[in-house]
Amino acid sequence: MVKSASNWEFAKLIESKAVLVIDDFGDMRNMLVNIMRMLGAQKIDSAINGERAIELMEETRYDIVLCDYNLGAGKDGQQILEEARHRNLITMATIFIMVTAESSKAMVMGAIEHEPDSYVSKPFSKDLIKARIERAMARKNDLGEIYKAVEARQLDKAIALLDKKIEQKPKNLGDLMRVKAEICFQAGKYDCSDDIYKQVLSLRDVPWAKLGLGKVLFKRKEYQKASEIFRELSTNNPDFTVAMDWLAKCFQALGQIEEAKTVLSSALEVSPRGILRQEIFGDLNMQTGDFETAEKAFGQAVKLGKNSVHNHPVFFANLAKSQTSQNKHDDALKSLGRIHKNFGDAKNADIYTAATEALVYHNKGDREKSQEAMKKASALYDISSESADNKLTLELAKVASDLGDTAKTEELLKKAIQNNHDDDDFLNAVTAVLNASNLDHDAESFVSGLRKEVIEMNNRGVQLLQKGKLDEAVKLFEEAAQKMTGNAIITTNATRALLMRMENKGADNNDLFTVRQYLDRLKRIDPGNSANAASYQKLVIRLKKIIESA
Amino acid sequence: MRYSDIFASVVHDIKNSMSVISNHIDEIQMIESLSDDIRASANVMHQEMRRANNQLVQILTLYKMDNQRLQPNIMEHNVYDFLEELMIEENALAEAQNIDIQIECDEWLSWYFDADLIRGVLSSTIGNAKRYTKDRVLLSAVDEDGYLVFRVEDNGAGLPQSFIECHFDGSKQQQDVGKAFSEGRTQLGFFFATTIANAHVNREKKGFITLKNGHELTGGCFELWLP
Repeated sequence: MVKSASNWEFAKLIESKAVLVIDDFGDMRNMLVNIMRMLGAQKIDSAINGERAIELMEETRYDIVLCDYNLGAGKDGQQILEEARHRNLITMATIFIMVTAESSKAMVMGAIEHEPDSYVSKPFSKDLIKARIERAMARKNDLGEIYKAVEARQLDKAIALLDKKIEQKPKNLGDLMRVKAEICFQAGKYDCSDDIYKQVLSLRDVPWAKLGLGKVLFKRKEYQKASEIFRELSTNNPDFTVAMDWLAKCFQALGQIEEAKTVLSSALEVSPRGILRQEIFGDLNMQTGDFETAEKAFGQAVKLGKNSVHNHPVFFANLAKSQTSQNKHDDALKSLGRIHKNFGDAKNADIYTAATEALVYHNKGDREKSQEAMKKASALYDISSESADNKLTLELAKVASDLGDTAKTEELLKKAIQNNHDDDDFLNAVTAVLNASNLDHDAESFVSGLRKEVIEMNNRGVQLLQKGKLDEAVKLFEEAAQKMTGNAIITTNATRALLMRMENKGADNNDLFTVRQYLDRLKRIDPGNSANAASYQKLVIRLKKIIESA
Repeated sequence: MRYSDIFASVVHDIKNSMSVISNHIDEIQMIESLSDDIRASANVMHQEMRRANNQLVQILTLYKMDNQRLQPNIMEHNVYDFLEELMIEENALAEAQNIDIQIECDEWLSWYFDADLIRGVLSSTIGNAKRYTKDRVLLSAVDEDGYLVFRVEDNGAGLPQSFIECHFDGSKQQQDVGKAFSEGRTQLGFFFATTIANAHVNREKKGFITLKNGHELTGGCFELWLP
């Protein structure tokens, strides 16, 4: 238990902490600042809205954030928390307390991926705030090492640390089990997560454990079974939008697009601010030819983008596509015109603009301008292909397919598959594009064929490594890595092969250079990567050792 | 804009006002040189603020029930921590009223329930206990027959027999509401408590409340059973 510190001890504890208070209502803001001051904090900033709060967080690393959920027109508290975590403006060590007006159920259910440390409902006393901060501090102390390991992508270490704590059967055992199940899931250890979820569920029906169970089933491709679980969850908890998103994903994987649309539309009714949900809903409506609904969804996504860390040119491109599909070509071009204003050169904005322009002009019957735009898009794409994300490759492939350029479509999709041969969600998306295109291939076998090719090549390389044929292995993986610049597994193994050769034969400047290049690439391919987190860390350690011993 | 959005936004405003008022009262109460009658007024204001808040929470619950939206958010909580927080909220005022509030609970006990809803129930029950007690309130929680049992007891004269014999049954809601209103606010509080207890379901078991006299302390004892 947290033995409540005396006021004096507590004041000592937080006097050096940087505190941020966010509330749009002046009296409330003053009151929160006052409370923090009375508790002993000396460095307190305050913000009237989310935009200002983010600006302040960019300048200062806050230890404690007190944030009202409902901030009027701009970002809400949840969006601030998501953006701050996403952009690493706060760490897991930051205490984030959400202040809410009434029961936080809807918020909690929508926020399962990014939870604040605590919800405090109004009205509250200064002593309650103190108790919540103390409790959060105690939890951070307890789990600090574990979160540090997670942030450093050392998941195995995090799990080992957790196991040590769990062995002692502490008071917060339930909390620890939940954290462990989540980390195991991130690490791809689905059996372990599954065990924990089932253990909890044997005692009672707990939504988070049910959700976890469904996610494990989804990862194991048991979409039907998973969908039944998500269906039950969302029927019993109408606010549980995360379960609805997963249900829609199951339907998508099962090819039941209309069902997926229905589920997402009810999730959007509960929580219309989910920008990524609007995007998926728009995509599905494009697939089924319901362009008017798609336009509305992408329009919402564009509007929400202003307050979201997820803002992306693809929302504008898709808005334009839904418009040109309804022969509203001028509206479409206008939407595309907004891309540069919003993104400048960031996020490959110009490629999205050019590629989508090609489609709009094509639909308008302006062949020349269409070809010109596509040429521009391709040229820009080729230059940036190292940093081109998979979303872009897929997007470009869609446009090429709509323009009837089958060769280009095939080339791009091939690349997309080769780069992501182990990402089932992404491959499902590729299959959808293939099905919609005029390519002669059977989508499933095209995808699985390419996938098999990559797996076999990878296995050959691994076998060479095991037999100690290091030069041959290096050669094979370097060639593969050159071809599949976006493939995390191939790049990891290429790095591994080079490291192994140097560990055997001593450091080599060329090899060191390539290894660093590969490590950079790995970080870029999937910045939030968690599945290969442990292996990435190991590679870095091995590189260090080689450099030290050279 | 939907009615429910307008509703939520008005509630938000009311809660903001209540927070500010409460905080100002807190500040007044912290002034050491306060005269006795001003301190007494501040205490009354504080007490009434808490009651108004509890009523607001109850109204919201009723509104959600009417819209079939009362879905408890069942999470695991450490029960001791939960009770300790409740006591923190009550204590400042209780001290001023010379009422001793105590907690009895295993520090390791944890259970699954909706903290917001249960806090609302216990908070208004503690309010009642404080009104009827001589000088003690005991807040306890224990794992009994597969239920978590919260008890709020006082050492006052005890509950009238008619209360104790009254069965609070969630299935006869409409009837009960009418009855509860006609019999006064305390009854209404028990009706809400029953509704919220009933909303806590685990497998085939459902939560409920009971009332009795003379458990640990000599006065009334409110029991909230959660599966």
